[in-house]
Amino acid sequence: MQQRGALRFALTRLLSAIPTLFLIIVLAFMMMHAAPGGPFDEERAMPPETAANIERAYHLDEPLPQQFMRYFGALLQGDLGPSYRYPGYSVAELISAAMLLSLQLGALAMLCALIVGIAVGVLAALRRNTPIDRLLTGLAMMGISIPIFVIAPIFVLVFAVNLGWLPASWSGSDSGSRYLLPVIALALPQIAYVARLTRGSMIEIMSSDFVRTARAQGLGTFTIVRLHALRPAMLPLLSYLGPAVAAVLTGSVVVEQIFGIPGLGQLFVRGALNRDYTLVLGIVIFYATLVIVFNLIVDILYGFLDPRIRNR
Amino acid sequence: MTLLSIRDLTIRYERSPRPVVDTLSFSIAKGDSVGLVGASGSGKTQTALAILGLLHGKARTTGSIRYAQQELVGASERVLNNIRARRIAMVFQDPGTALNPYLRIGTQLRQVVLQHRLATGAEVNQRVIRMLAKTGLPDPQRQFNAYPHQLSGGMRQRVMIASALLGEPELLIADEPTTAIDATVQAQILALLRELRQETGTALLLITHDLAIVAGNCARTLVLHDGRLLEEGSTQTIFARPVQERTRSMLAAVREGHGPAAEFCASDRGPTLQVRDLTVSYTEPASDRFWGRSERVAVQPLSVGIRRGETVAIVGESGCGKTSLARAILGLVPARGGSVRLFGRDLSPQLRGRNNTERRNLQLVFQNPVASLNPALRIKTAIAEPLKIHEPELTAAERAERVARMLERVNLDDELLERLPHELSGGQAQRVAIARALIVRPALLICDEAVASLDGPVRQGILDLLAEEQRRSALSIIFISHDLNIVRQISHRVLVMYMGRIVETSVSRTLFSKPLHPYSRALIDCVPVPDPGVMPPAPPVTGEAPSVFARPDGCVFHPRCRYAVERCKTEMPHEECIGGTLVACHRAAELDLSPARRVS
Ligand code: SF4
Repeated sequence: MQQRGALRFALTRLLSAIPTLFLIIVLAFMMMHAAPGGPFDEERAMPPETAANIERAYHLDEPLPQQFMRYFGALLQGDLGPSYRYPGYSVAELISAAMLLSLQLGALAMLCALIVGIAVGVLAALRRNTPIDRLLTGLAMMGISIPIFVIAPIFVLVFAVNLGWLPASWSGSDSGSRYLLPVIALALPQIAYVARLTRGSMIEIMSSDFVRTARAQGLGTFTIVRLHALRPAMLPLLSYLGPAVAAVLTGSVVVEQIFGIPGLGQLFVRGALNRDYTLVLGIVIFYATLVIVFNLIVDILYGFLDPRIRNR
Repeated sequence: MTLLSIRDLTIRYERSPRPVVDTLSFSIAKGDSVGLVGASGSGKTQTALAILGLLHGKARTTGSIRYAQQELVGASERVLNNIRARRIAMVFQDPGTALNPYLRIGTQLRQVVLQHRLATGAEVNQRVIRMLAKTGLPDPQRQFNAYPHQLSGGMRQRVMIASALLGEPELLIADEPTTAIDATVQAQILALLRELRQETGTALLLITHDLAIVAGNCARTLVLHDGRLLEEGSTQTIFARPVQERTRSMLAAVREGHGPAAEFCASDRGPTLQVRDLTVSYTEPASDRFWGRSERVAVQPLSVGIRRGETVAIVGESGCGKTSLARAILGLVPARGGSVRLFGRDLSPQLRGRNNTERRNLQLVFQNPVASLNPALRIKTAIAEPLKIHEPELTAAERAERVARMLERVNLDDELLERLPHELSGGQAQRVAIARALIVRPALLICDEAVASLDGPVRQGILDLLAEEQRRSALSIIFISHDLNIVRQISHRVLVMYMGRIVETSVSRTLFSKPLHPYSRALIDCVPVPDPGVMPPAPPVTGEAPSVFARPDGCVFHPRCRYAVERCKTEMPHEECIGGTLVACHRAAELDLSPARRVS
């Protein structure tokens, strides 16, 4: 009965994600077409018949709804269309080539954020209102308020240029050390968020009735944290994971640009600058799917981690 | 031999001028049973927490708490951890929050055994399961793997007790162990504690606001007031010859309860409210199929009338449908069938189908007054709010005038007008909630466990206020409660509900002297007798009410009824009238259930 409840819950959530995704696709499509200028507008004018030919080839002369239906039909078969600016490549090919690197960076950053953030948060909560706590919360505050496009260049300046410990750009080295700066730059704000969230919920849990019971049973602080407090204190983190993925994605657009990493973010920026409709649209849809899937996973995990939700 | 000795214990919080516990001294001997009694805020829980070193970090403790030569005030966590659970264990008030909802019961209890190295290997689980069995938890093997929310409140308290006794402590501190629990289960839990103490010889420090509980369970009694020890002595002496005025009034509050304060004068007008064949059901996701929902009936077709100036009490264990009934009358949950008529006119089953007059005539007061008030609204705005809706023609001055008069009626100082809900005490907040309900001059007031969270004189004050209001305006009251002691004081008629049915409808006085339904009798027996000379009886019913979703065949009460016969298992009893009382029991006419005369 428990399993069935969880399964039903997962299925319902899955179904409800479909209209959301559809809406995003429609919106993104319309916005791309509402933007002024077309992919083939150049500084120097094209002969009108050449332009018409190109437009016909890419079906840009058709009415918008028809274009959308064509696009959506192909999308259902996993075809994101051809790139307007990289002739000969399909959008799907471009994305899958750049994707791996970006996902690696993102995953490493998230992992780093969770491990460091939780540790810092728990420590601050246990040492609540002591100098250690104030120092840690102060640092976290900084991590949240300084944007990535400020922190990343400073990193490059200090660790690569001045100290020369780490490579300043992606192409400057092929060792694993080139991951370090981008991952840290990406992870830093997330570490701060995770630490703050963990501290808050940990303090709450540590003053809950059941922790008092555990103390009355003579359990030590370490046991109480490990056995009783950690899991419930991490539940609020779970719901942050969805937005965190979105934040890391946006962050990666900036970080890839600064460090010159040939990932999805860089592709996205180039596509936008070149008015490569299909490429930008494809990446937007890819990002949206990723965020929605993560939120979905979070919801389902919630059900499994909280026994009270699980068998409702 | 003295186990625990407390000298001049004083507990102070940084920002409060007055200590919450003030130079308190007492001691507990081996095997002793001591009741620590006082109203909420008297410092009794703080004392208990101080003994185990569990006070909030901001509390400053001075004085001495000695346990077998070991000073506990200011002791290190390491020293305390060797005392906790092994020497002194504690059972907390609310087993719903005192157990970790994320961990299986077995995991939580195992840790106690492991921490204190009481057993190793397979013995660990064995020990936990044995202890669970000892506390009367049915099927302990299975419950070992259950999560707390899968158990009822009473079962969770058994688990709590099991966890406290695992370390075989010499002193058990029980902090209001039955306050959050139904009367029937309270009787069982108290009996369990007595039994276990007899077996193990553990000393008991029982913390409670209810003197009646102390009477049957503690040899010695300490009365606490405002953090100070007011009176101390053997329970016998304190009950027979209380020295302090305050103790006397506390005793009076539990001993009182002979008929309602306001006499009910039957008027020949029609009933204020007439409920006919009302049914309430909820739907929830089906558990036996993948899709779809299944329906669960919370209230079976049920009829009742309430007359002008009458108080009708609805009693029963939690989950019996009493709150669902009230909500359906108010239109907060739509009734599945039947009708509710106010002054002879049908009310829409939905709140939004009711007009303003109909709404203002039915008002509600909840159990938790602070939660039912908007935390951001000042008291004067909160009380005036219903007037804006129901009497929009009033000018601001007239409204203020009405609020002032109402405030006086509920005995509140007008300096409270500017405060916010959280700045009020529980009793004050409940008075505000009552003022809010009564200011629109309703015909019927529904009180849902309205005094359940208040104790002693504060509770008495609210009950007196309700009686006074009734006398003044012939208000009809539906009083929902699980506490028969309160019901006895305030109601003219009592409906006893069990699993969505009314099993007995009786005039209040008759119910207590001559109950006709075995369940009514059981409820009466569960009320602790405020007399140390009377041995508490064995719990009159075992187990807890099964969920309304698993309604037994025949008489719904038969699995717990000690008078059940073959016929009860198959045939549902119908209501019949015996000497003015409506009762649904096959054997009502032959059984004599009058409680034995109580010596007092
Ligand atoms: S009908 Fe039978 S089982 Fe039900 S209350 Fe009466 S005697 Fe008990």
